[in-house]
Amino acid sequence: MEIERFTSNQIIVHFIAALSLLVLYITGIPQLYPEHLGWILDLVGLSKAMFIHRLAGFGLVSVAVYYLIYSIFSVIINGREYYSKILFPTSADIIDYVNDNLSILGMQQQRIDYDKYSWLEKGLIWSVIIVDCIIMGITGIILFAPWSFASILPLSYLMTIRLVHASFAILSLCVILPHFYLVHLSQFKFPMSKSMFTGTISEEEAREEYPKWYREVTGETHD
Amino acid sequence: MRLMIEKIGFPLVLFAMLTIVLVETNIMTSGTIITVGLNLALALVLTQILALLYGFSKSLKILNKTRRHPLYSPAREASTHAQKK
Repeated sequence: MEIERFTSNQIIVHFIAALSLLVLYITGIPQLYPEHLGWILDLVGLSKAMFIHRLAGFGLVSVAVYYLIYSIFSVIINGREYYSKILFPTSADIIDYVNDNLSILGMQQQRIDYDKYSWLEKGLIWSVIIVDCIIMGITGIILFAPWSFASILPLSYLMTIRLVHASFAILSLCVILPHFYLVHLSQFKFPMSKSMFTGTISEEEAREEYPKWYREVTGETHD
Repeated sequence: MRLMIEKIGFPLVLFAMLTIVLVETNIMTSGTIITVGLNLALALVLTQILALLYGFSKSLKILNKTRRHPLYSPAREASTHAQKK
């Protein structure tokens, strides 16, 4: 039996945001390391790469704005409780975080009782919101048309903004790479996790990975 | 096989990440290791793009196939959806 985990809205938003973000890496990172990744720019052409980069940036910012508006309306209609539970860190997440780290260090063998989204998944979504959408979005908009801001911002500010944009791009890539490992290369998900496309998760996987949420959905008592 | 994939995959991802950290902190900015690591990081990104496109197109195909089925009923699907919720 399959359990519903993601709505169709979440699936589409994830698809557009992820595709935009990945295209941004492919077209943006080679500009930071031309001696190592210059072949990508040679292959595509710098002007075309820049055009694709800006198009993907527009896609990411658009989807972020759309989801922000959608979330505000959702909170107004459905109340804050659901969002508080799935998005904001709770005391249970802090306990899970400590327990996870203790078990990595071999100091504890306790089974982690994750809710619908674990502390790691909540951390990932916050990193996307803060780093990719807010910081990269704002600096990206300024770098999109720097001449428009040249009268307001001194050149040194524009150079700093470029540095911030590049540094946070690297940080963002370092966050996405473990996500790649978790959804593609981990033992039970290879070659890829399909839940972000079908919106459902198998009962076994839900029981194994999100026991607390599974009990809530099925009404099963604690084992 | 799956265990082997995990055993190879973990060091590969870690290697790509470490290379980025080494370059960004200016500890090591040139050399074959750095070139291989950075290219590996972007190869992983490219794989994700392909997986994303494959997964999304496949789920759209399944959805389309389901809706074209002669026994498809939107009312039954809405009822099943409500039950799952």
